[in-house]
Amino acid sequence: MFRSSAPTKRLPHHHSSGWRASACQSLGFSLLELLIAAALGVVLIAAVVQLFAGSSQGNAALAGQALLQESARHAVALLSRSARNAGYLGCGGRDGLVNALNGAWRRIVEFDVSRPVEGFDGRGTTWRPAIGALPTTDGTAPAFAGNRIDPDELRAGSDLVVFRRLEAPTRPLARSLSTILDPVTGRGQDPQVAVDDGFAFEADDFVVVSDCRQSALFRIGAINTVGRVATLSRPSGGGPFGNRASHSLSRDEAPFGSGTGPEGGGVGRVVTEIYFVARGAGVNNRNETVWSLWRKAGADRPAELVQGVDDLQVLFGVDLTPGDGVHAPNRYLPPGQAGTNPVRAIHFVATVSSVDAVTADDRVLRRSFPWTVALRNG
Amino acid sequence: MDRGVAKRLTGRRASFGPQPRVGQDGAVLFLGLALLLAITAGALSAAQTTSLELRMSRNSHDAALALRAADAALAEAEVWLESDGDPADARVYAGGTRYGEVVAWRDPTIWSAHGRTAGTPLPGLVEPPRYLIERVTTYESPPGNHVDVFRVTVTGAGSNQATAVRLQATYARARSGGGIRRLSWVELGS
Repeated sequence: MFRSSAPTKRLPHHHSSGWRASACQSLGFSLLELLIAAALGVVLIAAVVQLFAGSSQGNAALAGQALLQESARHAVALLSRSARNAGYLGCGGRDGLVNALNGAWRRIVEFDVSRPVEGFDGRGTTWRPAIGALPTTDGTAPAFAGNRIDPDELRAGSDLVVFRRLEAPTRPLARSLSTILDPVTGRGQDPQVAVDDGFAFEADDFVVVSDCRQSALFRIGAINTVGRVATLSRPSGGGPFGNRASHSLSRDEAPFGSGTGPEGGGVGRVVTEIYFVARGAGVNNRNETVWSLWRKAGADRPAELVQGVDDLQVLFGVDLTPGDGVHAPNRYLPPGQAGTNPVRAIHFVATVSSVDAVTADDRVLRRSFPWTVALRNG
Repeated sequence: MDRGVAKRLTGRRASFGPQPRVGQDGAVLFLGLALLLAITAGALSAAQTTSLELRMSRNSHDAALALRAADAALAEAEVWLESDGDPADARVYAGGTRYGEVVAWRDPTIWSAHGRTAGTPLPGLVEPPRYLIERVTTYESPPGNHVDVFRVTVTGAGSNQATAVRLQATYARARSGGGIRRLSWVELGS
């Protein structure tokens, strides 16, 4: 603002005028200059402070908004993908499906591929139907110890939704699989699949063998790999998750695959995903509970997927006239009222938050995201 | 002027007294620079966040576009199977897969011989979606009624190859007529 040369230039001017001779010696500001400078400075600083406060508040809101949208995008992508692929059971869908395990379908919820989707409508602190049917800590469903869902952690009023399918693509059969039981031993032939780079079966996996007409659920006992062929044994075992003794994999004793090729036949691992909203592991910047979207996959323990999902509501698009040849929903109903009619589409509403409070008075940002996904199988 | 420069060169003590402002040279400049730097840093971080968000949403848009493209190709294959679908047509691979062979839809030579490019009107695709129709099997249900099962494999991409999607669907069609029935649908790699 002030150049060092300025005083030396001004010096003669002050001398010649003779006005305020004493000021010539100190070379300071005049009172007027000081007041103007101070006033200007105050205005400038106030403006800068306001600008800074405004921009930092806007920045926090923007960051919160960005996080919210990111979480929503993630939740939408995960749920849509699971919904689209639900019900995939290899070439033939659910035609001629056989359960070769001891437990009835309803008792083995983690592997109940007879139902592609299942929902539980949150009402207050209860669910319709009751979530005791799921592998919960206080439920009656048999489950793998330690990996259950704790109902106390669930978000009251939020829905649970279950999707079931096979891992895609299925592993092709390496031999035709005769389903007729050996008359001497009473045992069935073990399925044999081709081994390649993508082979990833493990003992105790729950798999479905299928071709274009029929399919069957069983549990792998042991895997015996010879060259490029793996034999998946299915020894009988106890409990609902064990293989039934001497039980055929085919309803009408037709072999899987033909003598020359697999003809659409293959084996795939069951993927069951239970999505729900429960207390997250973290807290926000105000030390408040953060709700998250969780997923329990198969027999594994539940995993936290998306932080900041406050609520999930699900409506099933139900086909009330399945015989009319039009694969479309007639009505959207809460899961508890869908009955046994086939589900053709699912309407989701996820309420997603910015997790952290973004401003002093605005607090946490929230937005609801509604979307609908058509089920492609069955 | 000379005196001023000399005084400045000799240091602070020399400038004490008659020229008190000389020692404060450039404070405003530095302060201004520091403020500008702070504001620039803030703006840069905001721009970076925005650009990251932009890339993420573009990616999900791309994935959605790839799925639409693949779905469109699948619909084209469906229409053909429904209206014509002559199993002897060149576009249907009917060789099947023998045990121990590469599965037909994984075989690039079968793709180049029998694969079709879908005529999709979707704009902004890096390449049009392609599909391969196989006749997987034929069975009798009930006896005497022959049912052909077709498997359609589709590859679709959005505006770049990173978000490419592969779909596979199977259809049953009775030779006695009655059109096609979808048996299954899946995104490969899921």
